[in-house]
Formats: sequence, C-alpha cells, structure tokens
Amino acid sequence: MWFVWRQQRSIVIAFALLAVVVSVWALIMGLHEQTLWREYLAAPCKGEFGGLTPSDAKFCEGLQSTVSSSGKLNDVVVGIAVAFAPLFGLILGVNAVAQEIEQKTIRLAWTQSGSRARWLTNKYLASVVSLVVILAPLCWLFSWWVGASHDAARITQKVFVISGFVEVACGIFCFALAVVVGLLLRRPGWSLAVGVVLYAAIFLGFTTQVLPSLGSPSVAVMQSTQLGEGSSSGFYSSGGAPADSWPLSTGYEPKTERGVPSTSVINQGTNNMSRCAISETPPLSESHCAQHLGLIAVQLYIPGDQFWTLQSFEGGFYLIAAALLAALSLLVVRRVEQ
Amino acid sequence: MNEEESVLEAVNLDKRYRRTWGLRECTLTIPKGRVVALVGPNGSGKSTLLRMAAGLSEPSGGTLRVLGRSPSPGTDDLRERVGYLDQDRPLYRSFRVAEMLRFGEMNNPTWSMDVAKNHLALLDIPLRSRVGNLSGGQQAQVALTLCLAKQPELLLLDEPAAALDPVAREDLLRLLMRQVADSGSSVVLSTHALSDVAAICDYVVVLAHAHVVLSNDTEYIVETHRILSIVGDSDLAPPPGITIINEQRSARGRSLLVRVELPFNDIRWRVDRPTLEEIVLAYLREGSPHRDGRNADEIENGAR
Repeated sequence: MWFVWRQQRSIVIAFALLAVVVSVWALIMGLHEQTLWREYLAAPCKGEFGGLTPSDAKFCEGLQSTVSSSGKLNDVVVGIAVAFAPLFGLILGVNAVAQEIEQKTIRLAWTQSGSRARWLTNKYLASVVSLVVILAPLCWLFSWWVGASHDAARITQKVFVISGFVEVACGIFCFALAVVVGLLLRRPGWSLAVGVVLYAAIFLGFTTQVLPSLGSPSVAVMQSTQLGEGSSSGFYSSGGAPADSWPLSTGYEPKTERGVPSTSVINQGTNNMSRCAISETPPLSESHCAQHLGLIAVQLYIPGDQFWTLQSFEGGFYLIAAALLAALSLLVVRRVEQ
Repeated sequence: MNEEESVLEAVNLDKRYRRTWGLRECTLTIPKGRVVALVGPNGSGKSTLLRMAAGLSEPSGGTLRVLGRSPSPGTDDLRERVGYLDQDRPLYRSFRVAEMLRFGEMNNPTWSMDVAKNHLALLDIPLRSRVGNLSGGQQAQVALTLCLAKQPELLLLDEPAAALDPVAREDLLRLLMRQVADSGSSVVLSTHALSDVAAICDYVVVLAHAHVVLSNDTEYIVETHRILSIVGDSDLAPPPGITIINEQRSARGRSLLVRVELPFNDIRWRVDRPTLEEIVLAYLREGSPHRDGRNADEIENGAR
C-alpha cells in the first residue's frame, strides 16, 4: 500500500489541490447565489410575482439579471464537477498499469516475491482509498452547491451525477476501466483516450437511456407555477411537475385517462393535436383543439423523492461494473507477457 | 545432471512471437553454483530465455524448469528464490534510493537491508538521491542492489553492464562477483562483452538465431578446442574425430578452429590453444545463417 501511495502521490496531491480550489470556488459561488436567490424570492420581489412598485421593479430586475448572469459560471462548475471524478479515476488507473508497462517498471514489480494478483489488489485498495477520501467530501460540497445555486433540481439529468455519491462510484469505475484498458493496450496515452471515450459512451448511454426508465414516473397537468425555493432553473416554470422533480416529457392525454399514461398514449394525443391544428383554415388554437379532442396537456416526471433510489441504481451500476472489471483485470494480469 | 544439481533446465523450449521465433528447440542445463554467461548476438534469444526463467513470459512449447519448478506468474515461491535484472534496468525514477530499498524490503521476505546499504555505500551512492538524478552506472548499481539484497538462490542478469563506461562496468562486475561469492548464489548473465565472459564466468551458453549452439564449462570448452594452422594453399583434411567449427583462409594459408575430443598429434598442423573469446566468436560467426550455408542446428549437432 505504501508503494502504491508513493507511486501515485503526485497525482493524488495534484487532484486534492484541484479539489480544494474547485471547492473554495463552488463554496463562494454557492453562498453568493444562495443569498441572491433568497433576496429574489423574498419581499418585495417574491420571484417577481409580488405586487411590485416601480422602484421595487427596477431593483428586482437588477437582481434577476445578476441571478441570470451566474448561469454560465454554474455551467462551468457543473462541467468541472462532472469531469473531475472520472478524470481522476482514469489518470490513476493509467498510471497504475499502462504507465508501468510502458516504463517497464512492471518487470521490476513482477519479479519481486509478491504475486501479480497481490500487486494489482494493492493498487486497487490504495487507489480506491485515495478516490473516496478526495471525492466523498467533494460530492458533499457539490450536493450542497446544487441546492444553493438553484441551477437545477438535484434529480434532473444536468446535476444528478454530482448530487449524492454517484461521482465517487464513477471515479472507482473509471479507475477499474483504465486498469483493464491499460493491461490490454499497454500505452498510457492510448489507454487514457480509449478510457475517456468508453466512459463517455457508458455515462451518456446510462444517463439518457437507462436511468429515466429506472424511476417510477408521475403525471401532472400542465400549468404555470410560481417559482419557489428549490425550483429548477428558469424564472417561470411552466410545467405542472413539482419544482424538485425531473421532467421527462410533455404531451397530451385523453381527459378520461386514469393513472400514469404510457408514452404511446401521450404520443398519440400529441399527434392528434398536431393534425387538429393544421386541419382547419385558419388553424385552430391549441386550447380549442384540446377541448375539441377531449385532450389535456400533461407532463411526465420523476418525483424528487426518488432521488436516492436513482442514486442507488446509478451508483450501484458503476460499483458493480467496477467490481466486474476488477475481477477481469485479476484474470488478465496473470496472462500479460513481458 | 539431475534436477537438484541444475538451476535451470530447458528441454525443446520454444518461444514464438507473432511472426518470429524468440527461442526455438532450446535444450540446455545450467548447473548450480556457477556463474553462467549467456552469449549471443542481438535477437538470439538471450533476453527471451531470461524473461521466461523469471516468470515474466511463458513458453510457447517445450519445458523450462528453474530451481526444479516451472516458472509462471502463479509460481509465488519461485519469485522469492530468483532475482532478475532487466536489460533496461527499470527503476521508479521519482523515488529516492532509500525508497527503492524500502520497496525491495517490503516485497521480499528474504531481503537484507545490510547487504543493500553496504553495497551502495561501497559505491558512494547517497540514499537520499532521486533515482532519476543518478548516472546510468549508478542506476545500474541500484538495480543490481535490489537483486542482490533479495538474496536469491539464482540471479538472472540481462546485460547488467551494458552501456556503462569501463570504470562503472568494472565496478559493477567486481561487486557482483564479490556478493555472489559471499552468498553462494548461482548467476546467469547475458552479455555481449566476451572479455567479461572470460573474466567472471565459469560456464558458457552460446545462443545464435534462437538456438543453443554451445553450452559447457569454460575450462572444458578451452580444453577441447584448438586452432589448427597450415601454411600454403593446402586442402589437407584434418584427421577424423575433429569437428571444424570455423575455417579461415588467407594468403598465408588455412586456419581452422576445431573441437577435438582426443589428443591431437599431427605434425603437419601447427596447433594453438584458442582463447575463450576466440572460441565463442567462432561459434557466433558460424551460427549466422548467412555464412557458409551452415545453420546453427548443424553446428550444434556437430559440436556434440
């Protein structure tokens, strides 16, 4: 363990310093945005839903502008937060194996008395400890920042991965991925590149295709809602879903529909609405068509209370995948020739 | 020679890379307690043999036994008993020398820190220096120290003195021999330097084009080889019982390096004792497929 720590010390320290810098930045930004939002949602502005006097309106517009301008910086924070753990894991993993193979120090390591399996197990243990020690507090801080910045509800795709513990699992998964790729490709540069591409594909595939189907959706009738504490981004939430939920899709369903409609029902309703709107000259209004066809605008969403369930699914997926990759690497390492 | 007397035994050992043979039908036995030179040109299979013996790669065919066991990634107790120095002398360049020693200590139950520190003290290599800041010769000594302090029964050294200046080379080999004499380890070292072979080795294995072409005691090799010279353009055939290893013609006459099993008494030939270097060179020359149309198999068979 000492040896692995000594070998990876510079990388771990570099990422720890980076984590501190990002944390301080996120903390300052989060506190600032939290204060702005509290002011904006309190009297006299009340999210601009209050009875504003002209002077209040000017003040509230300025406040709104300030809140709005922080959106781009929020995107930067989210980008860094999303990339931090995977990059940390991948670089540690590449350094652990591919770098050793390329520099041939693996010949030194593999001709000592310990077995290759022990050598690799030590790498896993030391690296997982480093990842958890640095990523766990960072995840906690990002989770707080997501709430403080009001950038998006924590269950939405944009910030889901940085709210909770999924980032820690991603880091561990990326480490295992880089180890396996490194054992196969033996070149650090290529291993890192392939690792990044593979992880990006898996991450996007899981987040966009798998995760939405793992939640139990609810349906809400579309309506304008007033902005409130914990809302998702934007100043006027026009959907019917609660502010802390993950909106999946909007469309139309028959008024007689009971329970959560299937996607095909919503698609059919939406198609009927489109046909209705263009069938008449001049085109009928949306509300007229909806009344004529007996449809109602609805929004499918995953309620915010399923946040930890989905965190468990995604985090569990990465941890199980990491365990499988670790088992694979322990098999492969015995067969690697030097 | 039985298994207990040999440290390394190969029978029809093959190692095939994608399109080429690293080693082919290699059969040899290396006795215990010797300093063995593995000699051959680049690509002859020296490093391949040593890496297989160290358990870094597996044979494609045949059998290999090291200290009575088959080396493989799973042979844990064999790694404790074998020290291996790679030709690239890989070390963790960001580590300090003391940290490299700690690495060796933590990974080897038979490690002797006294041996390691004494060896480095003799060479004035500071323990606080970073490995990456050391000279090539010092790095080679640190790498060798890691092998020696492990106190293995068998040391496999792949060109330990390659690319070193003469002083560093002499230092390295002298200290190596001193440690080996103290510990009683067997040593197999590959080298291109034939002067090293004569100076420190008592057993020689010559590899050419993935085949063993000569394998025996240095004394026995010198005793059983002669240079026969005859003046003039004579086609006089040497007597029976002699194997011609190498023949050279010049304006003055013919010169044959031959292997003789019996005392040679033919007054028509001038007889000289060749040096070990001359013998090894003759085998290496004849091991080349580009010379005289004879290949290593024929030479090997002829030599036996």
